[in-house]
Amino acid sequence: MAAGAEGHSPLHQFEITRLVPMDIAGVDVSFTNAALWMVISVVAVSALMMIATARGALVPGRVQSVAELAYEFVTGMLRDICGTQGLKYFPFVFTIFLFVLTANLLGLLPYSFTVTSHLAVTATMALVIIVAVTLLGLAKNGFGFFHLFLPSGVPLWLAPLLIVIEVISYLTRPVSLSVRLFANMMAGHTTLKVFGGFVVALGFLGIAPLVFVVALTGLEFLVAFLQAYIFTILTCIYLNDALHPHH
Amino acid sequence: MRKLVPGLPPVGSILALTGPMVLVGLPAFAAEGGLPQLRFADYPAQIVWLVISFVILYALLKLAVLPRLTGTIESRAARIAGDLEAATQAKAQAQAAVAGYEKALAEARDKANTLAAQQRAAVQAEIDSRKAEIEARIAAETKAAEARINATKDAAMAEVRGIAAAAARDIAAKVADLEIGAAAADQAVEHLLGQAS
Repeated sequence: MAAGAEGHSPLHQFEITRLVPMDIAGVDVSFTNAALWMVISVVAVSALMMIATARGALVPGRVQSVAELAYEFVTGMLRDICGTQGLKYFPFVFTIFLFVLTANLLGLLPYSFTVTSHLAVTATMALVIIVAVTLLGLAKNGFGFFHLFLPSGVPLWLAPLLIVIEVISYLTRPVSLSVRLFANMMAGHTTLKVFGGFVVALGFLGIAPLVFVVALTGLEFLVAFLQAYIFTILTCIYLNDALHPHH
Repeated sequence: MRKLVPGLPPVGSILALTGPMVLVGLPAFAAEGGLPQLRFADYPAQIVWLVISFVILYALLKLAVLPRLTGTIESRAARIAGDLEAATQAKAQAQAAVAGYEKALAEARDKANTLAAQQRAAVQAEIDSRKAEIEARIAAETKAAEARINATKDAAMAEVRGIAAAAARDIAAKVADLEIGAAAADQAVEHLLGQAS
């Protein structure tokens, strides 16, 4: 949403700028604006959770209620989808939810950078999730994990077709998981920026796109939460496939 | 479509107005240098910092936040369960106390009833015996009085006879100059009295 002097392109808000150029063994590890907002997200969510859990009051206050609400929300999701075995992986799922939600919400601040609007970020998370879940499934079920690709009770002549379809759908999971989040964030922010540009360009008539931008900002808050929810719930579903591949 | 602000065109017409501008404008903007998201030279720096910040957040949540959070929630659940348990016990105690009280009340009532009945019976017996005693005394006194009256009556009667017999002898001696024996006079009086009665 930044309206920098040089940034007339609605895509300029997604530019990566190297704040502290760094290089380790030929790998570019510069501290970029994306890294800055990752750190801000981590600090913000950690500070919130630390303050929220500092007192541990029997009757929670407002901040503690937020933390407990998030906790109950993710625990409920994980328990509903994966059963009680899934609760072992709660810290990981909880971290994903809080990180994505905070990054999405902080991205709505003017002049901020939306970490989750970058494919590099969402694809890394999606790949880590899929690889971890696949390894977990193999470790837990051994060969039985491949039941995922051929549910029991399917006629044998359907097997070649079904296995191919299931494998393709399994392999597209990281793609859909990462593209869904990054595309939603990018599309929302680009639209906001484009309409924000119209407000200035149209002068008096700019009130029409202004009204639209206000409404769209509200919608983007919903999208920020919804996409974090979808990302988390899909993680839970994939985790459930690893824990219970026999459908 | 519902109007968001009165006097302004609804959202639909805003979209219709500005939509084509976006479609025309966006490729031109994008052409300036391609999508920043697809510049793969920027990937390593982002991935490295993503991993660093994610791991730090994970460690903080797992080691510092979640133990306290689950501790709070579990202690609250335990407290609520304990309070419910205590309330159930207190309720059972209260019910037992009420039952005991009612039993004691019923026993006391029974005891009071039997005591009252015994007392009533005792009083009744006393009344009966005193009544019988008084009646007996009254009867005895009546009998004694009657006997006394009869005795007095008999004595008076005997005296009256004697006077009558003496009077009869006197009258006979004075009027007819007859000397009547005492026995004959008594007999005559007796005979006349027998006729009169």
